[in-house]
Amino acid sequence: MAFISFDDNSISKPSIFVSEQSSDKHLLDALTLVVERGAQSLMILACSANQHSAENLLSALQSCPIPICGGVFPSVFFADSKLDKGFIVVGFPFIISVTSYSLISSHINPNASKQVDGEAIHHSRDLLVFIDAMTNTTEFFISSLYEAIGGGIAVIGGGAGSIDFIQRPCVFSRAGLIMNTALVVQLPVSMHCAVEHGWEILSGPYLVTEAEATRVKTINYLPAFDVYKALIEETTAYRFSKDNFFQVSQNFPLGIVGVNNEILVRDPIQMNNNELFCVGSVPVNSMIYVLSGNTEHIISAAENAGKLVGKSSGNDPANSLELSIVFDCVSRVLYLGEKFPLEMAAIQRGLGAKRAIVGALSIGEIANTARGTINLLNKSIVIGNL
Amino acid sequence: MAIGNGLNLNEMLQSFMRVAIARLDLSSAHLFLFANEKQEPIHFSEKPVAGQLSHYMSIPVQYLGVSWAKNEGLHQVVCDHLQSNSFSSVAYFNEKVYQSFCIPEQGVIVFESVIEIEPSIKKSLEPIFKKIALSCYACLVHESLVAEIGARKNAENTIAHQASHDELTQLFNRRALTENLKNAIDSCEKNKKFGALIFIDLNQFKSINDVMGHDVGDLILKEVAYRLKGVARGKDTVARFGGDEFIILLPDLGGCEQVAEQLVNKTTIRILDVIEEPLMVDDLIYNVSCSMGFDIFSGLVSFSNVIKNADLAMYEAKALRQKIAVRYDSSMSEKVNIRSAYISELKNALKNNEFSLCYQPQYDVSHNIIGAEVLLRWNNLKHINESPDVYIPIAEDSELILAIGDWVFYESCRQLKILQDFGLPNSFKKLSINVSARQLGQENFFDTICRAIEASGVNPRQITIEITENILINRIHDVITLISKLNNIGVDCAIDDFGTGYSSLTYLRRLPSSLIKMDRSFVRDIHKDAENRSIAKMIIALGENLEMDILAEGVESAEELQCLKDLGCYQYQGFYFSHPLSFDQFRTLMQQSCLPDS
Repeated sequence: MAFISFDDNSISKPSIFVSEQSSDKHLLDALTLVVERGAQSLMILACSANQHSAENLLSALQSCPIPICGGVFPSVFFADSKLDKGFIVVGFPFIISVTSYSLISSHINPNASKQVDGEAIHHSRDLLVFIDAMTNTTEFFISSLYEAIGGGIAVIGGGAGSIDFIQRPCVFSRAGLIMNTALVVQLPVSMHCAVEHGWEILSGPYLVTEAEATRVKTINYLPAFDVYKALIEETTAYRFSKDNFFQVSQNFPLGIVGVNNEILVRDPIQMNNNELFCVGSVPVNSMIYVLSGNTEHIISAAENAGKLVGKSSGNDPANSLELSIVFDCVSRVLYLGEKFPLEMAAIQRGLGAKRAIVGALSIGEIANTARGTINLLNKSIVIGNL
Repeated sequence: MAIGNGLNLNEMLQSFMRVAIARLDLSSAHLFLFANEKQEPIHFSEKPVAGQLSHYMSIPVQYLGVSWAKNEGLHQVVCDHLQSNSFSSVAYFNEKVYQSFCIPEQGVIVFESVIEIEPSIKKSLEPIFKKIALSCYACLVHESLVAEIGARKNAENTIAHQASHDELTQLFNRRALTENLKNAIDSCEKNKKFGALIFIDLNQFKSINDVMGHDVGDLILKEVAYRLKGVARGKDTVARFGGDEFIILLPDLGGCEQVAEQLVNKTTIRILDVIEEPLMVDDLIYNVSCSMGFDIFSGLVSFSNVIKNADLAMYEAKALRQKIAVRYDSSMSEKVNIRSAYISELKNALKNNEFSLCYQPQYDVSHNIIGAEVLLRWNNLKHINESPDVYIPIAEDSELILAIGDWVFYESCRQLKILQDFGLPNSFKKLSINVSARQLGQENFFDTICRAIEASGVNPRQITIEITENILINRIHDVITLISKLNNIGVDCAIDDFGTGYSSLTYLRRLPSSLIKMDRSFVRDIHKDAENRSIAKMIIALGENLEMDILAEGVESAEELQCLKDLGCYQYQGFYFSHPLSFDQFRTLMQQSCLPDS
């Protein structure tokens, strides 16, 4: 358990507290310490393995004197160290504005542009988004957010939760550790972002002839899984068996190619009745490709993301917190396996040694596309430089 | 792209624009539609003009905190597009591409993107926008139909409401009450229960209308209606039956008649409480009271009888001047039947010429005949001894008084003409003919008088009409106008029964009348009754001040006469001088009075 800070005497830099301890008490103690060091707002990235109790944390979070944001993720990381247990607490030297939105279906306004009150969000403030990945209204909320705030605002975020896909409280705010919630955090400083994934086209295009939200029913008028299985088995050595769908599909995500050749990755995580279930929606009539990756490309994409964001932020330490926030898809860990530390090293290389890097392995990432819209991404890495 | 699946214009376009943003990699999409003055989208088949385009929708709604609807650059893109008169056009600013497309006869859509949409894709959009235009048109037609149906439904609801509700008070009207009453009677019969109908009539409400005007009267009726609604239970019907009459129908009062009556009594007490609570209209406080009657029913009765019975009971309460509601009993119907029979006999009397006139001579202080009051007599064996005080009020309650009054006036004129032809004594000035309130209220009353005078050829300067003080109170303005007109043709006016009402002295002064008849109640035992003397003195003084003669009615003794003389009253009528005389007797008296020695 340790404080890591760039400049202990400076109140203009963030305080970062990293701990491999998993208890509620340790977390609360850490929050107190960070607050005592003069932080004006807090970001908590905690591991799902900690099994934090919402009940135990409630009163302390509610009585916290400064704004809180954050989430519970499968893993978190600081610099090139991944923690599968423990937490990171970032004490920002500024006040963040946190708005939470209920994602319970019955609370959702069917008129997307009215779900999020655009006027409540300051037009010049970039945003962090923490969202409960286990709700089925995640994408709807993200669309609503964009429809309300419009372009010109940098947004990054990640889906919180655990990889057993059981819904638990996973979003930290001053209301407690809660679920069915999206947290929109307005930053008083500008943020520069980059998105990469490193996946490449294996075959396609194919026409999605029948789909409903995240469920792809038919491709080229044939059952989706049949098409998917046939082309993978024809072009690679992978073979689908009764119970290895996920292990195989992790290597072959779907990609929706936009008009400007931007590939939006969709991760097929489940197969049922010859239908593919993805993380994120696949529109009917969209052209999709089957993607494949190789370790080298995937890792190099992570480094590239670091470089890209560094380039756009100008790497000016005087006007910067020297802090990078990373949301890296948990499925990349599953894909890279033991080689994941190479990805973390690549990120650090890309960003440069001077920067503090905090991040989480997320279930779905959120970021602006090149055209400004906000998307839910799969198998991607998003970096925001503050 | 699925277009036109729904018929809601906004939803359809919103859905299309979302798909377009996602599928064409747009940053935003903006729709401008042709609109009318109310900014409602319209189908516009003429040559497009920028002024008729209105910003309809943008997704997202804003950029950097500013609504797209206020974005001048975007509006310029649309104007330029319209001027270009082409299907699509492109503009570049703020490092973005703005591609606008025509939606035929509906408007313009603008897509914002990072790179320009490929020409092949643009081309493929043309049929899509044509389809969008058709869908817009379908939605607009649908929406106008929906609006029309909605308006029709509203109109139907309004008509249905109007058909069953009173326009002023918004209470149920007579028609709805009848329906509800029928249902209540049926239900009581089926379920062996009792119901009740309370008939409420506001007392003296007409005076409020006459004095303060109908606007105030209407406000009071509305307030009363509101208060009555507060008294009613959810299942009760509160209705305005007409004018100042209200009805509350209590449809379900249980299976015990006694309990039902108790419930009705409780309700009527509450009604009384709420109605008698002073009410304020235009900063003035009004005290309203009411008379109530009710009938309890249990089925096997006609709705009209229930209403009639409650009405009768209400009249009974009014006649008894009692506040507590009166329950109907069959003796009331008997009374009404008797009254109806009486009215029938009166009608026959008129038809069979059973009425005659007699004359109550009037004298001056020297015992000269100065005039006479015409009195009505009913020459029917059954009614010969009945005073007009019995049958005139009954006739007044029906329209019969008009026919009787006309007959009296015509006959009086005819007989006066005979007297005039025979010759009247020099002292004789006027023949007084009584006129009822109803006669005065007739629009053609003046014409009737003129016709009677003309038909008889009588000298109208010897006719006085007598009107009671109470008539004056109720319709002073009308009466002043009417008397003035009568004065112009020579007919005079006397105020009868003076002192029994509350005439406004201001109006009395303006009334073109020459005679006040002091009511007999102040004359009786005037020599013994100091109070009557004081009143008489006051009336005499009033007459002097207003330059009106005072005639004392009901003089029956020498003592009374002497006292009146002493007080300064010099005109009289009463049994002391003469009992009422038949025409022949009166004519003889006149002839005698004309003799030099008389």
